Amino acid sequence: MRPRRLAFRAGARIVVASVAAELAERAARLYPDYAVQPGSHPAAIHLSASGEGGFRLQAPGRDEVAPGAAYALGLLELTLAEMLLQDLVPLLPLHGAGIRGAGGAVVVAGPAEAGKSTLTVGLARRGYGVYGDDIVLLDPDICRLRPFKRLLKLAGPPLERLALRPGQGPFEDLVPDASLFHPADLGTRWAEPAPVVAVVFPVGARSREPGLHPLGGGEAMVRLLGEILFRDAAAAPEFATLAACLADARFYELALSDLTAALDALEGLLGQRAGGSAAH
Amino acid sequence: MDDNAKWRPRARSDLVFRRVGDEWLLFDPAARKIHVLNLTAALVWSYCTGEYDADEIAAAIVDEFGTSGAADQVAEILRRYRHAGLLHEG
Repeated sequence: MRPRRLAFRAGARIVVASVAAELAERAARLYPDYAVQPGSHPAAIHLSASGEGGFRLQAPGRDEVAPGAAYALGLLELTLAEMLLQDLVPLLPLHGAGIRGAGGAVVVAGPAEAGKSTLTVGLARRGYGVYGDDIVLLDPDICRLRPFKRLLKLAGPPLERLALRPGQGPFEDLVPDASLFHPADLGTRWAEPAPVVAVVFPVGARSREPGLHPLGGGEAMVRLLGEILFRDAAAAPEFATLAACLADARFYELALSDLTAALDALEGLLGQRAGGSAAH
Repeated sequence: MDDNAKWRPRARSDLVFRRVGDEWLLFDPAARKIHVLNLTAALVWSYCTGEYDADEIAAAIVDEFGTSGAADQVAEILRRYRHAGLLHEG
């Protein structure tokens, strides 16, 4: 069975993946907003069947065997994200979520499991435009946040807390307790570029009273430098870009003990709903 | 006048000095460290160009804030900058 070629473009370059046929349909849905025709471009990523139920992924700097389809698809998603982001220079990729309000963009930053996706999907369901739930892009030339159009992902208890059905999106039955959402699935859209007006760091319920707690710019910058992706976070240009684009932003910690209260607090920061591009 | 009084502090050129929110920050990429400065320290830093000695910087602080005791304050801030390796030596 011939593999299917899939192509994606986020910047100038086209990234082509040659995907094992049985996964091609799902893989094609991973980055719908960046999908283009592959044309004659050579494939940079090869995902082929390997052994009983296994897959092998080969890409520059990566050669891994995945024991099953779910693992292989996750590996492909990650590899595509890395290659698409490399092509988006000089945009500065940040490990964080982003939501658009009337006054501008609010970034939610923090490590894995901090609650970024839960807050993003929760606010998307309230109609706010989104920049992403795990990776957002800062445009240093115009100091605006831009979306990285990767499907929003939620798994486990957060789905229940937001009354969403598990098993939606390309992973479907492969990862039954997880769901991937395009903003359109949630009734909203990718947000238009906007300046960052606030950065919020979710914290555990025990460390803070509910609500937003102001944070100094210095402490916020220390945390944010650790969330810069694929760049030297200790380099002066990266600091200068972040500092210049966040000079007039406000910084907060947000306790997540009560999700509804946390969403209400963020909504207070965001103001009225604003600014999305056409939904897909 | 001793040598220290003639010393004209000059900031290391690789450091990045920016305001973020309500705070003034000095980023040292070599040490991978962010220094948070108060307003007086930030103003002192802005005079660390190699053109002004400590007395002239203190006079500028007095002009700006109208406070007394600026000379001691400036001397202490410059001592801290020097100790942290933020200034050119020599």
